[in-house]
Amino acid sequence: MNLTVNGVDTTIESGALTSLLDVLREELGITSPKAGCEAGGCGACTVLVDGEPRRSCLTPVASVDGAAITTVEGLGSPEEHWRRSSRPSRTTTRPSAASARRE
Amino acid sequence: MASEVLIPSSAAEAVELYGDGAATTVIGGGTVVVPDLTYSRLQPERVLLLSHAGLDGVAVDGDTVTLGATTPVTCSLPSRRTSRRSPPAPGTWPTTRSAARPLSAGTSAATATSRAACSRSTPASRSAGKDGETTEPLEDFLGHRSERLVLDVSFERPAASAFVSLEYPHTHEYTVLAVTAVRSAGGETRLAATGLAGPGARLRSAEALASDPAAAAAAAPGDVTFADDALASAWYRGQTLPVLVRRALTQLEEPS
Repeated sequence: MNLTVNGVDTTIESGALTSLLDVLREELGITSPKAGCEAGGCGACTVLVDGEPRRSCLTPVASVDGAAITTVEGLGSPEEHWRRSSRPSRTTTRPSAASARRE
Repeated sequence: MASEVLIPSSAAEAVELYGDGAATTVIGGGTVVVPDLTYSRLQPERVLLLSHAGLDGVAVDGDTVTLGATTPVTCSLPSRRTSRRSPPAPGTWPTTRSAARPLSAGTSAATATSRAACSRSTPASRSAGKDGETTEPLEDFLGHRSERLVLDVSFERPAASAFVSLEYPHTHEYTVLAVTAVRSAGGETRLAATGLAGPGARLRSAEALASDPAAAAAAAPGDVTFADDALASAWYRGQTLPVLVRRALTQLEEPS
């Protein structure tokens, strides 16, 4: 079985019925999905499967063979988000020298 | 003990691999079975995983709606927060793939089947098993509860419908209790409830009094058996069901 986890193609060695949660945590060492209730109730294990939220504790890994999995680790760092969010505000509040000359 | 895992890529292959169903554990989405597998409460010899069998999705052909057996409830209930006079137009039901249970198991299945059960005079269940593939009235199928592989459930689009539910917001919304009311083109009114901490049920006594929402609401608790679970007590469900029945019937009468 193969998964693309946070953009990285990965071959999975676990059994077909192993939960996606166990594969992520035990085989791949990705620990942001948490083992909470392990019955689909708490949502602590939620990951994105092809962009859709899914309870990884209820998902046999074979059922998502070939899918793209995104965990919190794949969403980027806070610093990266800060840079992205702050960049537009700088350009709008501080016009460039070129645009200032045009004015 | 290692299980033999079968992953059919089509409905026909799923039927063939299911065979007579002997010693076979079916996984639709995994909600019911996977926790038992995780904790080794269940050690099946043979597992049929339906995730790639193409049994999900909603098909609309004229006035007939067909729900695939592994259709997620989010697809079969497109307007959980609101009631509506008429079902959505063909094509507005999404056909996404995500976790789902077979229609024959679990409470979300009861939600879907209760909707189907009250949507047509003879909603049909198509299933496969030791007697081959059969199509029979849904209520007959639910009545005998035999071990068969459900392929789909079909029903006619109702002339009017209302869906009223009591939701418990959490990381996702749990449906504590829900009532569906529909009116067929022939004018027959049907009522069903789910979230009873057991299988969904028709509210036949309430149906007989459907022209009087207050009377129907009072009769509804006699049609079902309430139970306690983590979401609500039997007492609470008993107090709430009449309210939902009255609201559903009232909304059924509202102009679109």
